[in-house]
Amino acid sequence: MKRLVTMAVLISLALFWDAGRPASAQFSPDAIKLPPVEKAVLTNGIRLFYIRDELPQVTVIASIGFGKLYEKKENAGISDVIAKAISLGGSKNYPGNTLHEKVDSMGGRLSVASSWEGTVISLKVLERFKGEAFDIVADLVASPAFDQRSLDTAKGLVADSIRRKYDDPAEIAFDRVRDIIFGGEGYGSSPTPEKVGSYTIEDVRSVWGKYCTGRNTMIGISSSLGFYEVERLCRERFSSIAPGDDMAYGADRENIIARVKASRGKIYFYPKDIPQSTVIVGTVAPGISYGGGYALEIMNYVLGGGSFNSRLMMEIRVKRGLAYAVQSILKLRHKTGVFLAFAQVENRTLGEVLGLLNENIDRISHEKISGAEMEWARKAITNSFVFQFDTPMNLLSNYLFIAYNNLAPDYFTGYIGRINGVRDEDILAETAKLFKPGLVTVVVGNESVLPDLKKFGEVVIIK
Amino acid sequence: MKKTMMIPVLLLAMVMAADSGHGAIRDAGEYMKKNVVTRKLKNGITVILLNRGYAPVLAFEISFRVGSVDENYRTIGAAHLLEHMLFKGTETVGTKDWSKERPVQARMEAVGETIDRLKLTDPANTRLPALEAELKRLQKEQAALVVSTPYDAIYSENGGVGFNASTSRDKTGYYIELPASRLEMWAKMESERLISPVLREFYLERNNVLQERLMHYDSIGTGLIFEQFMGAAMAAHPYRHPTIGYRSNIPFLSIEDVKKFYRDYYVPSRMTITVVGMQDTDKTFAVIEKYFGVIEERPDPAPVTIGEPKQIGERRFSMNFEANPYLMIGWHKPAFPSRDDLTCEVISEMLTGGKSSRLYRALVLERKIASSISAWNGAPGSRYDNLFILFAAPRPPHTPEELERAVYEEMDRFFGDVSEAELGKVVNGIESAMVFELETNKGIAGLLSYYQTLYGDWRYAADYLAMIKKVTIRDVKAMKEKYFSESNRTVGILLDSRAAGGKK
Repeated sequence: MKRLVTMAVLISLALFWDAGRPASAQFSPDAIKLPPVEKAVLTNGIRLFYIRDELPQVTVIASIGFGKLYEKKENAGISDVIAKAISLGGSKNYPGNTLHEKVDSMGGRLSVASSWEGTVISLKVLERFKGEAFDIVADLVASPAFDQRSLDTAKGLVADSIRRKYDDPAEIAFDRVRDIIFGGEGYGSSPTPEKVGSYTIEDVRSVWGKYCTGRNTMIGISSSLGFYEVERLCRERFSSIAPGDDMAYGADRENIIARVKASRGKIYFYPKDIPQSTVIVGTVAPGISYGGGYALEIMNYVLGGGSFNSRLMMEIRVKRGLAYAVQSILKLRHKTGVFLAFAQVENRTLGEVLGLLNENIDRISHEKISGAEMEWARKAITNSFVFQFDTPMNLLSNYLFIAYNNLAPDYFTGYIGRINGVRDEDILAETAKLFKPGLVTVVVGNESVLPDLKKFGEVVIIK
Repeated sequence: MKKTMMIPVLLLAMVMAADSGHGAIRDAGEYMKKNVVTRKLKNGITVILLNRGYAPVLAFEISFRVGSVDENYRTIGAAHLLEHMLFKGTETVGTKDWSKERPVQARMEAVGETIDRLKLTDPANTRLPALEAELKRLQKEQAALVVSTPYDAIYSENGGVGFNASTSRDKTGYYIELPASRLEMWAKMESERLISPVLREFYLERNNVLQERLMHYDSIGTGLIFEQFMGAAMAAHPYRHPTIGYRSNIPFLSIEDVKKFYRDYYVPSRMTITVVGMQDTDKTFAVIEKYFGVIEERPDPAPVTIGEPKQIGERRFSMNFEANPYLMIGWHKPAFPSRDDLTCEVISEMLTGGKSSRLYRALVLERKIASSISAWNGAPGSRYDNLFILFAAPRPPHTPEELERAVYEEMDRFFGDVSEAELGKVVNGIESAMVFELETNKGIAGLLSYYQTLYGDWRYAADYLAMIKKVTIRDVKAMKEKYFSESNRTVGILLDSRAAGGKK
């Protein structure tokens, strides 16, 4: 068995920054220290990450590299169906009711869910049930039952959750804007109840067989047990999984950008008879390893990601009292990313708010942010960084994140230094590049808003 | 502005080893009893401290035993609006020049109150347009003198996360997590904002609250049915009112009423400060005493006098909305810490806690008549007698009515053959949950603060498992006759307006 010895994660003590350093000074790449996470690789390629938790509990997480980002139009929603089918149908040794009875009897918390990037099976139990936790998760990964009855129930529940998602105007807006930007695939995967109802046992088994392989799987353990016991338990339980290949999803950036460009000047309108509209604008963003991501993160903080003092919140909510919910989001993932800015506003003020969204995005694309904004965003991002590591689970998740995205080992330890190294001209350049293709605009609301929307461009009804 | 850099002391392996604070935890309740420090300031404020964790961070919660249950018909929504207004600063924070701002603020309050009164009593009054124009002019004038959202800027640049607040029927809480080195900064800022708040930007914020209401209630079927359900189930008790207020009354909430609400209810005897994370508890207490000890002691306000009359027949309603169908069924029952409330808590876990629970297994997995089912024991609050509510989504093509009948069938079966094994599962689940809840500073702070604020003793959190273990199968079965009867229940059904060919 090939084994990676514990990463020599930077030793001990904290780093102290210079108190009183002027804000305009250039920052050297500062490093931070993280507690060690033990790592190993099983013979079948499964990567194991372990952190000690002093609480008398064990959490076993298996992350299989197949999530919504891997979906195409022809299999949209299948990752949710797979996750639900596993959680309902269980596995060879722990079929449906046996699994549920066992987990509930232990007071355990089992979650099987499809995220954007993976299908994640996690089980948390008290330490005295450690053996069962490893057994159950390993069996769910290696031998899911995928029986017809559970699959039918899973499809029905996923279909109903899609219908109910469309009861919420914000969910509709997010779903539709991603669908338009990404063409209904990957980040824009947008399954219908009919589509998820069409999947067969062969479909789900085929996907699971292809993606649930050693090289495409990571195991994370947070436990009061020692590493060697954890490693032994993992070797015993997870070694039967075939090595397979390392898989990754693709993202056709050129096509995505072309779609965004083609949507310029259009307002996609989803009618819903409610007193409040949701307006959202968005575009494609780069992947996580893109060097300009740090500049974009600061930009987003200043624009609308940084709570009440960000520009959108200040202009729309604080100064004008036009919305309770207003925010911008920048999410950079392995191969692609997304930028979204949204607000939920009374129908009569929708036009004013859409104007403010566009105006502020335009301004930040053409003018440098102020020194005070730069200072505030930098301090806020760097000083709150510690909270990404304040629990064993957070730490473990961050190591899994680095591994999944093939990021440099110093991604987190050098993060603050890289944020501090961003200059205002970097932000302007990266922001201009981000928004150059234009923005996709989606509105969900009452038809009374149509006259206002027509002032912003061609209205396209999308319901 | 003083340009000092924070010291980002990040997670040390050495610290982790030196003082994890929970190295030998085997029993969550015992751990809390052994490690939680409780003290009282002379003015009556309760302080709860717990040194734990391995990162140099602290979770803070300041909570008051006041919520919308303490409002009257005129002030519905005041507790929540006041919570929003406490983010607006003081006479020194949030203003560029209070001496110039003060007369603007005073005039704005007078004009605003007059506008509201006229709109309600004499909407055709010819003075209204001029008054509204004056209010706008005053708002503009004030905007030039104000530093908006002052705390947010200071906290965020000092590394604060989760700076927020919440208001429920029962309590109001103010939260933040900060690097431990910012303890004194937090104490100074929070004490000042509680001692002398200025309700600036009141009318803009009041409109934001209206937007919040539109988002959570008026545009969401499940939000709207919950509000209507509480109104139907509670005939008299103030639990029937939505914490956020009604769409009709929010635009008329009076600034004078909100100020009075603050003076009456934000009193030390109703206040609990909880700090959880890496700390020297003696030093933390000294800092808290220094800043919060100066808050003036004030008399406790009068308690809620209205009790909910006994329900003497089923209540039932339906509503039409552009949303998928939904079902709510609720029964009146007593509040914590009565033994019956604990028994109902056990019942809620037995019925819907996990995939092997009675109703989930029967209705979602076997009969496939529901796509989700959950229970809330203690809705909508827990200071006064409350409700046990089931929330269920019918799975197409089944109707809410079919699902309702199936719920009663399964509950009858449950009360007939509930077993010791099911009770054992609940006990294990709660034992586990108590350990799992020790993971985060914020989670622990919330737990301790909740029991202290609502019931006057955080130790209920530590003793919870022992209390649950006293519940017997006999107790569970007795609940059927006592509370889960037809005459004691309320049923609410949301129907999809689109199914009837358009909105009704």
